[in-house]
Amino acid sequence: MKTTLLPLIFAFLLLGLQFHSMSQNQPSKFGKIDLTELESKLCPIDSNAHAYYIFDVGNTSFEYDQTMDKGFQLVFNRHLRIKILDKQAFDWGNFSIPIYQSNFDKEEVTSLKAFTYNLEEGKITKIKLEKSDILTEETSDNWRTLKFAMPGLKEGSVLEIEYDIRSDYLFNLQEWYFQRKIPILYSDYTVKIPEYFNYNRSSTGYYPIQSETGCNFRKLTLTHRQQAEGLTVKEEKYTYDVDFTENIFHYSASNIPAFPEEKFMKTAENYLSKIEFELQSTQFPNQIQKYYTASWEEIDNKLNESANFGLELKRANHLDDDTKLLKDRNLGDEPLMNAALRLIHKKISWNGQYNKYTSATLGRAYKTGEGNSADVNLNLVMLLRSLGFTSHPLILSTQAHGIIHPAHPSITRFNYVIAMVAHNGKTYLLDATDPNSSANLVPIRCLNDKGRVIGDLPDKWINLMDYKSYVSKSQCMITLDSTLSVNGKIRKYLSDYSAYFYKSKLKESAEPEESIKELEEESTSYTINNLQISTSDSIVNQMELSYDISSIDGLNNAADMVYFSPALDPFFNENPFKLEKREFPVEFNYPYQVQRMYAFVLPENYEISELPQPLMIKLPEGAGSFRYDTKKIGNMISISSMIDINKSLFLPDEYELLKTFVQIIVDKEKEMIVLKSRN
Amino acid sequence: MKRKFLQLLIGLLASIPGIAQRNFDYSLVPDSLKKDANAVVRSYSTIYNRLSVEEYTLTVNYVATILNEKGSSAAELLINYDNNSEVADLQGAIYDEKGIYVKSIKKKNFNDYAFNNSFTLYSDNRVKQYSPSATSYPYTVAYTYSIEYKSTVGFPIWFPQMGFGVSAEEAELVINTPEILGLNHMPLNYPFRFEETTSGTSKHFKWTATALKAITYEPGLPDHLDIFPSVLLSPNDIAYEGTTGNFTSWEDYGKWVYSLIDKRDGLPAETLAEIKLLTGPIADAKEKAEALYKYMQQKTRYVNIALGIGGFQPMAATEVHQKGYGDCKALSNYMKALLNGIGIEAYYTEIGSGAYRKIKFPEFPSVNQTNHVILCMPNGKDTIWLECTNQNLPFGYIGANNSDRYSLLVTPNGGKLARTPTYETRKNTRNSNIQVSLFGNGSARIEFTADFRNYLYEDVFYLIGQSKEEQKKELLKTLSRGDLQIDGFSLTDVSGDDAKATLQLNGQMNSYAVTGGNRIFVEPNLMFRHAFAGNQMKNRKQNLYEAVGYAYNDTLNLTIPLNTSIEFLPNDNEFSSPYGSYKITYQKLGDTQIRVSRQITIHKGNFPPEEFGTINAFLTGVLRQDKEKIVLLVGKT
Repeated sequence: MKTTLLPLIFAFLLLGLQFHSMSQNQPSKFGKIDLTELESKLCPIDSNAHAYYIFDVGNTSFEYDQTMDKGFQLVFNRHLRIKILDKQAFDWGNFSIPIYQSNFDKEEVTSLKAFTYNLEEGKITKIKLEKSDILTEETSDNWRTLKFAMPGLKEGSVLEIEYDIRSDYLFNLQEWYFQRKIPILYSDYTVKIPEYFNYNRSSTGYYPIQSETGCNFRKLTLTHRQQAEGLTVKEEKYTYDVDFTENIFHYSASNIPAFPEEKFMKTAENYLSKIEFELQSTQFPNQIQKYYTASWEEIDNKLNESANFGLELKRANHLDDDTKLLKDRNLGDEPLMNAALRLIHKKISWNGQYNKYTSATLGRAYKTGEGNSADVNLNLVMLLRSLGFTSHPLILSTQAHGIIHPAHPSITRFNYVIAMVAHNGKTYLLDATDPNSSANLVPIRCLNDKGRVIGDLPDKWINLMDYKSYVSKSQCMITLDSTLSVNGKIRKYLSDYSAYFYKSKLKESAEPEESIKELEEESTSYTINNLQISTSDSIVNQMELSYDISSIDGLNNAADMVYFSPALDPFFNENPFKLEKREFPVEFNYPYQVQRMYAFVLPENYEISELPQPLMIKLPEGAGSFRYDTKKIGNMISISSMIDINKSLFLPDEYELLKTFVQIIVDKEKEMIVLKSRN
Repeated sequence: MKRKFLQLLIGLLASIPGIAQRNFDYSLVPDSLKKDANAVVRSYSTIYNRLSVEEYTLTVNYVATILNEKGSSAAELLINYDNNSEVADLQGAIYDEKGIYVKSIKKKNFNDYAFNNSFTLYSDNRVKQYSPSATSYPYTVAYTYSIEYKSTVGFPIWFPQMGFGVSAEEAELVINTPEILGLNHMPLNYPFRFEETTSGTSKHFKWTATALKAITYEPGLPDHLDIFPSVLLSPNDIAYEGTTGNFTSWEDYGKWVYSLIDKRDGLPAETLAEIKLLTGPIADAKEKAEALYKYMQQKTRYVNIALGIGGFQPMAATEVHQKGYGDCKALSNYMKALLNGIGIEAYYTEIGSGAYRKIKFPEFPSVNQTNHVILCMPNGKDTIWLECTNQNLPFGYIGANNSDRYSLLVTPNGGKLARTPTYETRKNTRNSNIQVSLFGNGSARIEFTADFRNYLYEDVFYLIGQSKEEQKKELLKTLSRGDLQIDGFSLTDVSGDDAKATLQLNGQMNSYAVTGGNRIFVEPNLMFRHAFAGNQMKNRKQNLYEAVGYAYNDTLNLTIPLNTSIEFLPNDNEFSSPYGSYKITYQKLGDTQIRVSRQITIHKGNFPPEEFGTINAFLTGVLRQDKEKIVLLVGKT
């Protein structure tokens, strides 16, 4: 995108550049290494760190390029210093700087200097990174990567790097991360934006950032030359001044701890403290204001008018034949939606690309049988509409891409689109990229807070979570004969996400015997025979498994006593929560409902000596419950175990409770039945 | 309309030579090739035309029918190239189940990106890549392309099947070469039909294979070169990036490598003075070498930057010294320079590292059997081997990945094959001693010491340089279940002649034993999981390969709670199979203590499917026996 102050017939010269770096924010000048930094043996805020940022300071400003007709460019400057404490951190001495390039705009690293400082016999030595050791990789069509390894790295080294990136790509002003995998003692980012540009700023994350704003009054002296017509070519020079305000945004944070990697977290992006910018509008003198994104309504309008989104849905329908085919099947509402989903999946295979915009016309994707998420799901919207449903595209951000912040309108935060149907007061979400999904059972990547419907509905924000649960129920019927040999049958009923997972797994294994192998790997305590799997095409989100078991491990027989654990099919083999504490929330994708019913028929020659005691525990506010019951009816024992987890987000201070809750379940399901010989 | 379609079809077929002639209807695939297959290679032709000692072209025609999602790797095209090579005439097409043309894959559909593995910072390796997205199975994909090479160092091993679960109808490999350049070749695992002809000054080699059955993946398989039909190739004369060589013997191959390292081991005078000062007071050569090895470890780190000849030629020792980094070649050469600097002889040594890359055929010299460089210091009879790419590795320990195999010592007189040391089963050990004081509620205090030697030292090696908190997290994740709380621990590297580390730990387990009524059930928890398979390997079709043998010796002393008595103690047990042996004893020590001792040995070897009856019985036996419970009765009897 190019932006010039005045029409292109003028050439401009920018005088009196005042884009000095905001040195008042910079903790130290380049090359001015403090002895204490080199002497440091420990990160002051984390004794476990292998390396830390002494500081990381960034500046973004706008410069006016008088050559060509480039107009404003973004200049990003970053100055950082890293302390390497030990060998484990040597990879922090390898740097990659990705640079974007397209046909129209490009980014360029215009300067880069880097030094390694060491302490040798009490003296500071420095080694320069040579230009010849900076390598540029052509990573892919639009990306280049500058790569270099810092020279002379040792335990105790301090690395200092400063570079500038000059960019034509005004749409995305450089974001800034205040938190990384190693601690940062001081992080600071200053952005100076001329009044002509209006950026939406979104600050997210757990760790607090200080912010302040201010402004500068600036003067640009512009020169333009004009060629006068005549016998001799004469050039006339005009100069004039432009006064404008520069808005300054300054963010900083101190002593930011390292970001821990943890399981049960959808993406670190949701928790890392960072600041992002998105161009909302521009207004140059004597020109009308131009909007990019400003409000959600404008985003809606923009999408509705986009040739690769809304306008595609207004084109002539190429799905008439399919519509007729489906209508002729006389299905109920939800089965009809599922049939439409399956049909689109069969016709257009997803090429794995996430996008909210179509790659070509919907008709073309249909014809070539291939496309991105928008090609697939906007075709689905079109088909659902022609089947008579009220259907709209629902744009969202996938899990790894982080959640949407309703307070910060931004079109780039969305990277995916699915279909939504509003029918008889109910909301249905559909995604035809995945054959194992169905109405309201969308792929895991879509389970991410809220999405926005692009269509004529009163409530634009649609919840993406909690439509379906992970439901797994099983019934085990076990008969022990007088010689304690086992004859048992297990039936498992899987629905919603548990069926979804099992089906996805089945698809990967070519032979049914592989499924048995996997089942056996999961439950090593018995031998499986006769596995039968039944799925139905009409009820897409359910399946049933049954198998026989002929032995139980650990059916200990000690003289006249027998001990065994009745929980043959426990949900938790072990507690997944092992660490003492948790810094960030535990996130689940969906609620869990797990039921196990065990019935044991005992031989006449044994009597029951001990049975596990019933138990009932609940997490506060209905977040979860576990109910374990045992009953004795004549020579039969029946045991039921029910686990419910209804909350998708457990905060760090709820971790201990969640961990204990699961541990109680694990322990309970290990308890034993004791039988005593009657002889 | 119909006519237009036909023309299009003809146009496309004509542009993919060798593909059009055949009908790729899936129904024509014989059942024997559908068995265990996720994809069937219908036709595959690889043709090398060697133009001169430097230049050659490679032309590939490939057609495969993809039967299901798992066969998608056979549908993906990945062409590696670099500054020495250029990809030309790249195109492809998709056909449906009946072999009817669906669409073409054009040059612009192929992705092109830099291709570096995780340990490489920068290289000039690039890849052209395409993978079709399927709507239904089966379907057929066809590719054709050629690559022009400006330099020749070797030809990759040719495999007619693209991995596991892929069968092949017909495949051919053709090499046309000027006779004077010569070619060394060796077929493996299949009786290829082979033709060798001469016309004028050219030689023509051709291998063909038909009806190759799919091979199923199983864990723990031996090397691919023991399983898959393949042809090893190596040109006699090479010319690569301005260098020339002759690869007819390892000796000559070594001469070429020597020419690349020669005169790259100089060091600045002040460095030589520094290391002389450092090693001066030490008398023994081995101890001098150890001091220099630690010096090298302090001074350097592993960074892989591979450009052109830099894939074969190390950075000069001075440069490593100055920058403080390098890859395996550079760091080994630097270490060699340090040793030479104090008058100790050492050889730059090429090796294949890992279970699947090694100099497997000592009689077949070629460039692609090695992928790593270490250092060999003859030191009289006490040969010392040094792996130079890790800053924490103990002196003289090269790891299981480099052990027990041929290596090529690069001497001024050429290459010499030598075997690297073998880490024997009895020296790859974990010995542990665990003290458990059990309480009536099933919780227990535990205290243990374990040492890990050689191959099993590698299990904990990655933890050694980590911080206390990271170590603790990792221990909590990997040590046996039971709601463990760690109160204190230490992990210490105590390497000497063997690589060795010691772990000491004390803590509490809230769920050590299961209580119920007036009984306590104790499954003796030996804290560590087994490295070998935990389940049976049914219907095994191929050998199981264990490159290294090892042994666990664990002892647990259980102090039972006050006011309890032992109701049941499992029987001692001992059993073995060719794969391993297991022995456990349960011993009463007075009224309040039980000692459980367990020895497990897993043997190195290549175990054929016939032995799986006994191997499975062994694995099941281990599983069952480890779950045996001690039963305690509350209240004195």
